[in-house]
Amino acid sequence: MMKNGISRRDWQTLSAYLDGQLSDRERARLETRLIDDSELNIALEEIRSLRSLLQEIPVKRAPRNYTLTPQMVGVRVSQPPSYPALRLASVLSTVLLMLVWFSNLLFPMAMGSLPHMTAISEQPETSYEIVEPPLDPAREAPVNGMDDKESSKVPPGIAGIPDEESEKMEDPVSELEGIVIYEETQTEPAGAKDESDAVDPSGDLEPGETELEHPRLDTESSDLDDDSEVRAEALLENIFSRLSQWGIQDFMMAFLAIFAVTTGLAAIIVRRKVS
Amino acid sequence: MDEATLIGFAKEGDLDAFNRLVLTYQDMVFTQACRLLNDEQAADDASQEAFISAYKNIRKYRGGSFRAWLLRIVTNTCYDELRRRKRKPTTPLEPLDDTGDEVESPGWMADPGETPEEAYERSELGGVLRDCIKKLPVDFQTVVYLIDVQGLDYNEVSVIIGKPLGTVKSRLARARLRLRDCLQGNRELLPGKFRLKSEV
Repeated sequence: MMKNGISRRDWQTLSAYLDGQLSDRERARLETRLIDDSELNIALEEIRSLRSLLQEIPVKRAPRNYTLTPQMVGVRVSQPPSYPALRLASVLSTVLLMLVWFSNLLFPMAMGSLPHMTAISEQPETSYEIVEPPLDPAREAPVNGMDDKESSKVPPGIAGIPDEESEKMEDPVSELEGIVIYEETQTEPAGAKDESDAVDPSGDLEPGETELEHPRLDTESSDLDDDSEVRAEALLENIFSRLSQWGIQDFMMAFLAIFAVTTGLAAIIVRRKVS
Repeated sequence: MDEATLIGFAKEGDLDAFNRLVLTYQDMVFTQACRLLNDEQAADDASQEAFISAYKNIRKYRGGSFRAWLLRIVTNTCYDELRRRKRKPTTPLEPLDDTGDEVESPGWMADPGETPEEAYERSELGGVLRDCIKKLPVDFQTVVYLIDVQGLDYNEVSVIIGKPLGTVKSRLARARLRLRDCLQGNRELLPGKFRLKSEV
């Protein structure tokens, strides 16, 4: 017996009764007793009050989110099939690039990577035709029209002296200056002037002016716009002339470098998307 | 997306679907761990561990109340933690009586040297109730929290604690009796509407 007079068994029955866990027969018997048993009623109210007190205990808020990551549960993130392919392609192309580069360094002649150098060493007279970008007849006319003495005045880069070729190629500005100087030298000799006029099919060219120049280029006073256009034109000409000298190995190296970087970046992007 | 669909996806290994279930139940799981361990830091670890365990074993979930299934996992995780604490050679959680059995209501655990914050908490209704629950054996605490606080039914709790329905009924009734006795010892702290009829 408990201190308020009901047994532990009665207490348990009351507890289950409140939670609706009694059978119909047990519930009916208990309800009959509750009618005239005040102690049983008091105990029932005690349990009911206690239960409502417990139900008011607030649920605690979690201090953080317990969401899981693949690392936490030891799950390997499935990579898309393109990732290993891209990674392998990037690595292989890089290795191949290094091989080509080293072979180019060690055996430049044997590999034939510098055809222009080979051509220069073997046929110095014809190297000009290989190196020099095609010139307009109007540009060539004054040179052809000059005698040997005058042609010696022609600046490097235009006359195409093989020994000075590399210097010309490295500095487009010097080439540009060469053009200007060339114009000035062409205006002085009368014979050359006549020749210049003679080869001008349109007849629009002023004395000392060639088709290579921009039509608006004034030999006496050129403004900044004209100057920059001429520079850009010379730069482009220089780039194309350089490209025309590339051997198959140079193109291969450029292709491999671009391929390695592209596939590497693609692999990184694919992996980041997955993670 | 409903719970059953999310569980289905989670069973197929969809971590995002499982994480949506985590967000739904994490407060409940943390609360249960807090009540059983009485230590927020330990409850935090137990909650995380419980969710990891739940994900790894979700294929074993055979339907029924997912909430009860989660609570069973976190309850077992807390029991493991309590057993681990017991194995440590520190002050035992429950003293032994003359016969060597554990004393279930360890009044000796009450700390005589309370901090001001603890004293203030004790003056509040929640603090009184929490103290009374703390004095219960862990098995009794579990049943009280699951049925009276979390609102689960007897069958769910029977599944969670892995005991027959009769054991659940018995433990709950005994826990309520002890709580009543505990609260009657602090009746001056209870608000009028919670005063027990026997005091009137």
